[in-house]
Amino acid sequence: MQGKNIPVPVLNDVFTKPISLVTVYSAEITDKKETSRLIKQLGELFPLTSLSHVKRVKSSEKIEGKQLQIILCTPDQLENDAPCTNIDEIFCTLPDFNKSGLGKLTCSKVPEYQPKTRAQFIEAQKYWPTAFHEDKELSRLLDGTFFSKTEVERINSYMNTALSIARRGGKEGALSIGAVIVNPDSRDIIASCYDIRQVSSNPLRHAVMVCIDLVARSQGGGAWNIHNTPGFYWKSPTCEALIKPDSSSRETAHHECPEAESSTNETGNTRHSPQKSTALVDDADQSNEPKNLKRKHNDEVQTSSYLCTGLELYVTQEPCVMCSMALVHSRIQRVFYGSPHPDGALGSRYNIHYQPGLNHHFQVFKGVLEEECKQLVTGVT
Amino acid sequence: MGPKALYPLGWTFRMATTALQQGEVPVGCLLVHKGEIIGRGKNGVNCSKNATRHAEMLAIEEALDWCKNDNLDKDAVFSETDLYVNVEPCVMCAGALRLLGIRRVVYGCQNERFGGCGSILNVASDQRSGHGQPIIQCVPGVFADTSVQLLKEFYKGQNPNAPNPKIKRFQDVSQTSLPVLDVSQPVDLT
Repeated sequence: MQGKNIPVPVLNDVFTKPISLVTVYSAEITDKKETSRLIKQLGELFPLTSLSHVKRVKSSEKIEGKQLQIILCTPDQLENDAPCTNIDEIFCTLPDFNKSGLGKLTCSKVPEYQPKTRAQFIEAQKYWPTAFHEDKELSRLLDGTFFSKTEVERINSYMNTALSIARRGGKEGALSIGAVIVNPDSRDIIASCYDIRQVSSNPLRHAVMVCIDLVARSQGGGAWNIHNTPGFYWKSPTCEALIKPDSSSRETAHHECPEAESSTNETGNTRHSPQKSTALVDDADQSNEPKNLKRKHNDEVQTSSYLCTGLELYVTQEPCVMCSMALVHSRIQRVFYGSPHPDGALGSRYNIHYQPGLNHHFQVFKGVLEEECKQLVTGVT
Repeated sequence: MGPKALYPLGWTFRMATTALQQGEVPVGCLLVHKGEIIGRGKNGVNCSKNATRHAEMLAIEEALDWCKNDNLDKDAVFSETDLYVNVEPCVMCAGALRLLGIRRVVYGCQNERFGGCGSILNVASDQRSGHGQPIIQCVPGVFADTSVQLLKEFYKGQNPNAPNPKIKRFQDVSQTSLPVLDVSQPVDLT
């Protein structure tokens, strides 16, 4: 289903890896009338707490009819040092247990974890029946139907903007890597730029770092004096985005539209677009404001954008670990990139977007206009 | 490392306190090259609305300017430069320091939420994130308790503009562990 130029999700490998198996003690049920009693009593004696997704009984078709197998226990539920070889060893400490209906002791392999995808579920059923709750969004991500045709066109058009700003960078003697940050709700381009690590005195001014600072500038902040760089664009700060509305800063703001921008953005500097309400989070980190400072902002402005919350990044090349973590700090919502990079941190070297322990995760898609993006790097354009 | 080599770390606490008073996360950072301070930074995320304005990033920029002004090769300078910061650098900063090929990072407490020198990932010395650069020598846990106390001030959500009563504790630290550091004198951080 994943055809040409459909964004490829960079998913947590728990969704893509093959299932793992563990061994349990099981036995055939020779007298089916005993089944419900065995399920109840074994459930009390040996609850399958670590394997709660596994069904106790497996039913398989045989020539002479249905055959039932029941899980007795996991090896770690017994105190025996050596593996058990017959059913009496399992119940040696439980002389009162009624073993009637149980056949010969067998060892069975069962799935260690609950399947997360349909493919894993199908694989798991070959061994032992398990519970499975299908995540519809995940299924659509996996089968390539997550984005509609119109959405793919929109994604490609933003990547085309990133491509043209990257080419502009090349013309200016910079590295041909382009980045565009977009508000997907209003369809506004917030910032677009190219990589200036080689043309500035700072080797850390990667396209993504620069784009994040331009977004800050569009919100009345920003740290770097880069706004006069040829070809760079950022959306002018709106009154709502400023702590103290200051018309002079809007007038003095210099910016330029990239060639690939549509005509709707030419008026972007004067238009007040609807801003999403501030998504303030309770947990504190280096990008969070102390509570009383937040209140101060909210008193003066009812709504304002907060870092890159709710925004999408389109970048021609996979971001490095510094840039990827900068996107975590900035609370980006979604990242699309063109070509992977050996030192990339959104799928290649690391998977920062779903790194356990980090307080913000985001969706990542690769392979957007990949061929065009690759050509930028090799300079074949 | 002898106690004298840890001298700059005491200063980062003072810088962090200033950041706290300005409503920023209390992180201060110094870059030291052959005994000379070539870069200073304190967290500036809130004032810039840019979540990447960590103390380390600001200190790096000052050091890069220093290299430029003195017409020195930045690769050569960073290979002999040590970074001092009161909290473990995050994954982003560790990535940046790795890109620059810095020699050593000396830090206070662990950064359990974002740490890039082992807490979340070990970007500082992971062969995976080499970019062809050597691994960074890390000296963790220096005055960790003082550092933790300072961070707690922030996370408690206390008024960052209130006079900070914790400065006295730094004097205690300096008297017991850093005899050469006179933090009773004001430090110009501007």
